[in-house]
Amino acid sequence: MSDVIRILIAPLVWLACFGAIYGLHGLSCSATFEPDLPAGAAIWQLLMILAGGVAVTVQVCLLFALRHRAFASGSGFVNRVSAILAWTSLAATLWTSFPVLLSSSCA
Amino acid sequence: MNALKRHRELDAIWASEKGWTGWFSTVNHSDLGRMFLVLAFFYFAVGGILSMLIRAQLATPHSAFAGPEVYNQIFTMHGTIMMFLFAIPAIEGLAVYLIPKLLGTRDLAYPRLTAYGFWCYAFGGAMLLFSLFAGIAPDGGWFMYPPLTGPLHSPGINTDFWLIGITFVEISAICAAVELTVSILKYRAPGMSLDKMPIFAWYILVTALMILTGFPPLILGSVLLELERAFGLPFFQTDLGGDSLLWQHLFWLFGHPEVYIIFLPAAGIVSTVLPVMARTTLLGYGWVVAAIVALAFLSFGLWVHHMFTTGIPSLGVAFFSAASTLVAVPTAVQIFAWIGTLWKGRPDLRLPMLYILGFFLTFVIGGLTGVMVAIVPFDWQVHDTAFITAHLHYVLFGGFVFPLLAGIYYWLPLFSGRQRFFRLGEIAFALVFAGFHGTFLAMHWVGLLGQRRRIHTYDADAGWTAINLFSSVSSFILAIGLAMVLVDVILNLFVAVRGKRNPWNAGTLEWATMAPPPSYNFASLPEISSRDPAHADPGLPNRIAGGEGYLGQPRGTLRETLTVDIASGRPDYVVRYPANTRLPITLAAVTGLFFLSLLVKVYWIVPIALIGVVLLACRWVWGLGQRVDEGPVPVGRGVSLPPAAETAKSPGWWGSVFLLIADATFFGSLIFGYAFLWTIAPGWPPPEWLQPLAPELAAGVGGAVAAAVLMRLTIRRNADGRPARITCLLTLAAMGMLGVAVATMTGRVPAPTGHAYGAALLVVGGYGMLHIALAALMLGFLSVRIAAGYVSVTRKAELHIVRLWVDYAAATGVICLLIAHVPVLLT
Repeated sequence: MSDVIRILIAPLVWLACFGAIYGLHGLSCSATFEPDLPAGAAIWQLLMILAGGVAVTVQVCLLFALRHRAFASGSGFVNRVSAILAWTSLAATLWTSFPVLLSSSCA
Repeated sequence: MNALKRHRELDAIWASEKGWTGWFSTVNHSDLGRMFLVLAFFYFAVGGILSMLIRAQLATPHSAFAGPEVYNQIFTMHGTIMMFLFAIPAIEGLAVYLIPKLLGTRDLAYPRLTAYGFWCYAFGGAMLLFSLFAGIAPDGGWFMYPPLTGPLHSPGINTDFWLIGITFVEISAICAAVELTVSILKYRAPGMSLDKMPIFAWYILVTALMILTGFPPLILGSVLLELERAFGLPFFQTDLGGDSLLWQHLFWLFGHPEVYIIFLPAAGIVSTVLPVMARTTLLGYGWVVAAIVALAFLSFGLWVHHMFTTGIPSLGVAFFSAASTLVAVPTAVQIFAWIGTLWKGRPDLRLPMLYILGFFLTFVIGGLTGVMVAIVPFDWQVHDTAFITAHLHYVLFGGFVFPLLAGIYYWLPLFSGRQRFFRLGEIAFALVFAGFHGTFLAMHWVGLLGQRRRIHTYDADAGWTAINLFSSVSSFILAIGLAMVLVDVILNLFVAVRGKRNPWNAGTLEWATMAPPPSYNFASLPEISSRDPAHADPGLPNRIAGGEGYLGQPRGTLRETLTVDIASGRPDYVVRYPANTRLPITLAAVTGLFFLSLLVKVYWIVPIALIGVVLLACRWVWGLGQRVDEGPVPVGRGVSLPPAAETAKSPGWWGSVFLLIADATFFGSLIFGYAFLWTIAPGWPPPEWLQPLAPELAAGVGGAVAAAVLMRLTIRRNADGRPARITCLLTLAAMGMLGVAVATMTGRVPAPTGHAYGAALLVVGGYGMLHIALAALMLGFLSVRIAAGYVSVTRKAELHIVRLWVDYAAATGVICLLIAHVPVLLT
């Protein structure tokens, strides 16, 4: 089972981070959680950029962990596939988090 | 023992009952796979006839062929049947039939579950078919958007048929997904490590995991909408704190992965058949596996791209536009791998190859129009036009039906044991290909000219008449082509001459046994050392038949196979299967009674049906296991292995893990829905909050912790050889304490029909109570099993299965209480 988890972990983390950032965006645009501060919108955008940064950092750490000898699988195939998926997930995180730098609109 | 004697003995053990009555008691995967496929193609024919009616209606302006009410039912049922009653069951059927043969084992992990899934599909499908012939079929479109499908705008029974019928049918998909996941991970030929698995098994494994995580949001959406329709809980009514957009989120959380759930197995067929047709091996096996996994995950991050025109904020749109363009990358990796395979091989233009080439052209066009609609401004232009309908058909027909037909022709000699003689197939392919592109290329065009989807008529001066007529004529050519395929397959199944084994010279294991395969698949289980074992060892079929593999000596009337370690493929346990039984069809019928009583709103039958389901489930499980310790038994080749009941991680444990993953996805979707309504829906805050109650929360958390601890104590006492029944009953009592806390909370929720807040808490509480009741039932059952001598220090499997369910019920029970209390305290 640990080999299956090794293969699935990086894209799973991408999906979790993607969902979390989208959820944070939902909160930022919701009336219930609208901050009273004048700089409220900017704070939310900063939070989202921060969340994007955390997501990228987590993926980079995961990439190193999966390539580290301590976490390596006994199967070369599993190591190779998990490394491909870790790189893919890092690219996906960068690509799908990119909009937080460009757009802050709740419109 | 010679090969013939071995065959006779094994066949006597594994065969289904003779005659047509055997259909009702068979648990054999080959029988059930064929039954799935036949029924799925029957529904393909029904869905196809409905599509002909649609095209007949649209062939001319102001057509009087069908009125709007009938037309709405026709297009809704066309989409519903093709998606839920054809595509998914056809995949299930093919996988159920092929996977054990490809993996070199004798059956799937849970044969009775395969049968139960089939009968749920058969009964649920019959329910929907009845509605069609009775003229009360669903008419809100295959994605059933409220408020159109809510109680105010669709008061009849039509929508209920969809919500209840589809939920019933989806039980079948969940059963098959659990079954296939465990089978692929654990039921393989010894030596078949992950890197030696046939590529088709990888595709089915990923698809099965996607079903487990993709279908629960739709089941939840269906439950919520039915609760709104039947009992007035306002989840989708804006004025009462609901939001119809919640349905779209839940539906497309299922709906977009659904496209890949349909496409991936078809791509698996291409990755299997193409190298054989090109007389080489698949290029970039590891890259393709990575692409499949990446595609599966990315497909879960795309659902909002179906909602670009709903007015969601632009940043949200940008997220999903980015993710939607990204998904083209792993798809392209597979396409380049296929092109590379063709490049390095010597392609042979046989009939399966024709369909694969048809798939290439069609699917690439569908993929490219998919990238087009991922771009937001373009999507705004074409949303809900015939362009989208055309794109959808290019992806699904091109990406699924063409490869499926390639697969049918490729495995036809295995199904039938005959060689193809009648040559209608090539003409049929030409008609299907030309008819399909004529129909749907034209539909792209008319969509760009502004024709909306689902309209039952249009004006003659709209400029769409000639295009629609061309599309309709082409669709009839397509239908003739498909009918010819059917005739060709039937002729070749029943009339053609006997063929030789492995006519394509393929390397996978399904060709290393008889054609058609015997009831037990393999006379002995082979030891595998290559990804293409039939190529690596040409003498393998004879050695399998000669009993040189594992389990080559039949033991009494036992249906035996092996499980293996997931990564290495090293054999670890012996599994004994149950024999033929009518229990699955009976349980499916009683399950159907439960759904039917909800549909016709005769609620006094509901508890009776539920009690029936529980009793039959107990009967189902009671027959498993044994009362004596057996220890390792010889399995051949000098190896002895313990029975699966004598391990902590038995097949039942693995099945429970994956079923709980689906269950947790359902619960996660429920929490998402609650949070969505709280934060996004207008009409909040509710008029009244639930009052937090510290003793209730404390009792619930205390009960949950005590249950988890006591269950572990039960396992430890059993491992030490001490009586475990008392702690088992104490665990039951602790679970009862949690149950009382959750029930009290549920009983206190503010009027559930008055606001979505109360309705959501009622469902959350109901979910918690259901799982606590389930865990309590299991604990009660376990204490009886302990008393009856089914559990010992060695035979510990049942304890670990129950522990999983107790932990899950405890965790979700606590979460339910926290969901009810904490947000109110924060507010």
